[in-house]
Amino acid sequence: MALPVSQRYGSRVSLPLVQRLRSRDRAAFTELCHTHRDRLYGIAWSVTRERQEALDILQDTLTSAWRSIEQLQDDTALGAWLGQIALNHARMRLRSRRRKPAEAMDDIDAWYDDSGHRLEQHTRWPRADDALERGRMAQRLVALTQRLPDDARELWALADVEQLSMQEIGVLTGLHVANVKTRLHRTRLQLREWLAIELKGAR
Amino acid sequence: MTCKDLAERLGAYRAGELPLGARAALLFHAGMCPCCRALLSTYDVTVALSAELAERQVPDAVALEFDSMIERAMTLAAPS
Ligand SMILES: [Zn+2]
Repeated sequence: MALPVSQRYGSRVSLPLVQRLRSRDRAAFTELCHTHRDRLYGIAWSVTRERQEALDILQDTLTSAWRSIEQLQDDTALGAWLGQIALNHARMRLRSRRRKPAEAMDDIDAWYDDSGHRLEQHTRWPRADDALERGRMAQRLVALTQRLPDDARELWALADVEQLSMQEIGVLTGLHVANVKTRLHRTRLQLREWLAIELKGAR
Repeated sequence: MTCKDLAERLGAYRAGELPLGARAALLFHAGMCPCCRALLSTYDVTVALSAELAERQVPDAVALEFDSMIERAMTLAAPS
């Protein structure tokens, strides 16, 4: 059986984690990485939706973190710090692989007349009870998110796929929470709209 | 409340963050307006479908390789 990491590296476990990290304590870094592993992978995967890319981002994140570890402050929130590094790496990869430009999102005003009535009436969608049909709809939705601007798609991925809290997304992106909520809702309305058009066409 | 108002407030409503008066107005409007009821249901479907798109757990590759990834990070990024 493997020794606990703290014993493997002879760690000075009595010191606060940040101080141990700053002095390049390998056991402390290993511990930190394990604590945040799933969330970091979740950020990388939900934003890119490609497993190999998410693994590469995870590796880049750990490498960047270790490289800049001496700059940590006593009050640095470690989870947020790592999450931001992961998100930045994910963004860089997305930028380098984008094949076609994003579409502009609709102007909500265009969906309504001057008195606020919806121009094209909403209708309910056919119930998708079986897993196969739901899976098809979900894959359509993924394809539609490719049309979104990167920042909108990112919020959708972090909030609605990865289920991070609004507060956490605010910290990761540097946006005010109110702004995150507004933009996310706007993006959901747009996705709903595009999905409605696709489903109508498919019938 | 108009249909457009309802669409704009829907996010706050679903997050449980709409003040009582606005919430009552939204529900009243939805009760009268089949179009907005359809919006509510399809908005919810859209959000629910997104949630189904998450990976349920980290892939085995991550679980198995993670310690080597950490080691690699500390080697690649060794201070000069
Ligand atoms: Zn209405």
